Amino acid sequence: MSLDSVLQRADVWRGGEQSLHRQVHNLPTGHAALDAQLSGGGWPVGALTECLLAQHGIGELRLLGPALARLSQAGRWLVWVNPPYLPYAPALNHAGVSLRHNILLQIETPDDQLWAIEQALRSGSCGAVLAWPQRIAPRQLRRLQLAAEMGSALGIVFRSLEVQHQHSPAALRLRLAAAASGLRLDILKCRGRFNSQPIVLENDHAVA
Amino acid sequence: MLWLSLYLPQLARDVFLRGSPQPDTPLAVMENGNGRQWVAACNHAAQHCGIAIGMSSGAVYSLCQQIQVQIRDPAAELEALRQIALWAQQFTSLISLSPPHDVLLEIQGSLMLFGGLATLRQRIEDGLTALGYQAAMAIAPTPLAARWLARAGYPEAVTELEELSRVLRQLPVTVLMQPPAVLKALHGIGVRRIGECLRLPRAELTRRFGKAFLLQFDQALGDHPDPQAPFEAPAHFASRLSLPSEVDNTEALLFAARRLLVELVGFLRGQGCGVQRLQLDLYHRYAAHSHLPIGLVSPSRDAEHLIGLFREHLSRFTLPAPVEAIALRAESLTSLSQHSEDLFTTHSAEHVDWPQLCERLQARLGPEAVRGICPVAEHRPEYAWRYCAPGETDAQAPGLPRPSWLLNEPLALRIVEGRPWFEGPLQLVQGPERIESGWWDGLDVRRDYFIAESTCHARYWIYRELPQARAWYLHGLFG
Repeated sequence: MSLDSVLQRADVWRGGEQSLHRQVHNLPTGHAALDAQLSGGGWPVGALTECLLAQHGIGELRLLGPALARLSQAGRWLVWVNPPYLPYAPALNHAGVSLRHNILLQIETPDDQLWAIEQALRSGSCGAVLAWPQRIAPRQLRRLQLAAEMGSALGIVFRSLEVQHQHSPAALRLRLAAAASGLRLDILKCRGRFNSQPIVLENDHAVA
Repeated sequence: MLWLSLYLPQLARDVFLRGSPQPDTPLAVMENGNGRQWVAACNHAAQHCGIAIGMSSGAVYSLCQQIQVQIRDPAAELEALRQIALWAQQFTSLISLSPPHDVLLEIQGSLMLFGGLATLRQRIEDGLTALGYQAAMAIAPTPLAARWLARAGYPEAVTELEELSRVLRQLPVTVLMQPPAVLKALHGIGVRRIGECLRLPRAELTRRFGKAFLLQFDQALGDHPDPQAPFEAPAHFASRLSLPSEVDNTEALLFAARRLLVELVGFLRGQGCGVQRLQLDLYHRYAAHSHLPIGLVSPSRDAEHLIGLFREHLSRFTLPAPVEAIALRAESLTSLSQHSEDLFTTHSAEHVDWPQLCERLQARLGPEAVRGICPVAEHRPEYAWRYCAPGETDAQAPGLPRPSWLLNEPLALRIVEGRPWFEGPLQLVQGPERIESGWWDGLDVRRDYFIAESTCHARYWIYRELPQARAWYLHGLFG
C-alpha cells in the first residue's frame, strides 16, 4: 500500500485539513415548544432552514426574533436579502435585536441575490442570513446549504407554499400559517427527527 | 538515482498548437534560413494535405490555402521547457533542463509518495496531455541514458545498471545526439547499434571521434559522473501562450486559459502554495492589452475552481478586439500549509472578516444596495428610522408596540360595510394610539393607529387620518 493511496482514504485525518466531523451547534429558538420538537433543541446553525408561508406578515419575524436578538447581541451580523417590506427599526430594537449588526441588501437580479446570500453565508462573520429570493432551484439551495456549513451561519430562506412538495436539501423545513391564537408551525422536515407535531406559537400582547 | 526524461520533439509546433481547441486545423511552423523559408514543423492535418518538413512557403500555400502559418519562436520553445519544469515541480524537487527538447526529472525519492513508478508515470503523462504537449518518456538510472531511451521510444522503465547496459547496446546510434557527420562516419564503418560501437577499441574511437564521444558512453552507463544543473524556480508565476489564430469567443479563450492554469496549479503544488490574486492578460494585435484581475476569497490551487472564476470574469468582459495571445500572472503566493487546524474546531480557515465581506458585496452590488438601518427618535412612524452605513452605532427606540415590517408608502384601504378591508375584512384588536406630530416642518401627521386582524389571522398596523377619520391606511405588518 502506498502513501498516496493511504491519503485517499476517508478515515485518515490530516493535520492540515479541516476536521471532518463538524460539531453541530444549535441555537435555541426562544420558544420552548418548538425547541422540544427540533433535533438538537434549536435552529440548526451551519445549515439551511426553509420557512414556507403563503403570505408575509403572519408572525415570521416573531418566530425568529429571539434567535436574531441573541446572535446580534453576540456581535454576529444579520443579513437581510430582499425582504418583502422594510424591517422596521424600532420594532427590531424592541425585540432586542442590535441594529448595529444588521445589514439590508436590495438586489435586483436573481443571480446576484444568490451570489450575495452565498457570500454572506460562507463568510463566517454572519450569524444569520435571511433571504427572500425570487426563485431558487434545489441545486442552488444545495450550494447555499454548503455555504452555510462552511460559514457556520444560520441560513433562513423564505419561500412560498407552492414548493412544499418539492425536494429540498435544507436541514429544516417549516410551514408557517396564521391561526386564530397565533402562528401555527408544521415541521415538514427536520434532519435527525421525524414524526413531529404541529405547534402553535401564541400571540402575546407585546407584539413583535 | 532514477531519471525520467521527457523528450519533446514537436515543441516547435506544440507551442502554437496547444492554445487552440481545434487541433485539426492545418498548421505549419516556418523557419527562416539561408535566404529562404521552409517548414520546420507541421501538424497531422497539414501532413494530410501533403505538407512535409523542409518544404518552401510557396509550396505550402499551393497545397493548402487555409493553412495557418507561424514563424518558429525558439524563445517560446525554451520558455515552454521552463514552464514544463515549473509544472513538474509537484513531482520532484530535482529537475534539469536540456534544451532544446528535454526535461529531466529525478524521481527516485518520489516513487513512494506517488504510489510507484507506474502511477507516477501515468500522472505525468496525463498532466502533459492537459498541458497540450506531446512527449516521449523514458526512465533510466542515468540522465543521458534516459534521454537516449526516450529518443528510441523505449517503453519499459529501466531501473538497474546491469539491465541498462544490456538495453543500451541494442539502441541504434541515431539516438546519440551527434552531428550528422559523426553518424555518417559511424555508418561508414558499419556501426549501426551502440553495442557495436562499444566493442571497438577505446583508443581508436577517441582518436577518430574525440574524447567527448567516449565520455558520453561512460556517463550513460554510469561509469562516469554526469552532474545536472538543477532548475531553479522563480518566486512568481508568469506564463504566456500564443494562439495559433486570433480568437474572439470566450470558450476558445477558456480553453487556452485552462492550459495556463494547469501550469499554474503544478507550480503551486510544487511550492506548497495557493494564489489569492491572479491576472489574466489578453493581447490584441491592433489594440492595447486587456487586463483582467481576478481575486479569490481564500487562497486556492484548485484548477476547476479557478477555471470557473475565469469563466465568470470572461463572460462579463467585452473583448475590445480579437485576442492573439494570453498570459497569466500570479505574483503573491500564499502558503496553504500555514493554516494547520485544530481537530475540534468548526470554523474553517477560509473565513473572511466582516469589512471584507461588506466590501465585496458593495463592489458587486453597488454601495446603495448594501445598507444598515437605525431608529430615529421621532414620533411619526415613517421618520422613526433611517438607512445608515453598515455598522453605524444605534440609538434606542421607545418601547411601544410596532410592526416589524413597514410599508414604504402607506397603502390606502378599501372600506367595505364601514370596515377597513385588506384581503378580507379587518377586525380592530388594539388601539387607538394617537400620533400627532410634525407641525413644524409642514409634514405634520394626525393619526389614530390600530392593530387589526384579518380573517386569516394576520395582524396589521393600520391608521386613519384625523380629523375626518374616513380613510384607512395600511402602514405595517406584524411579521
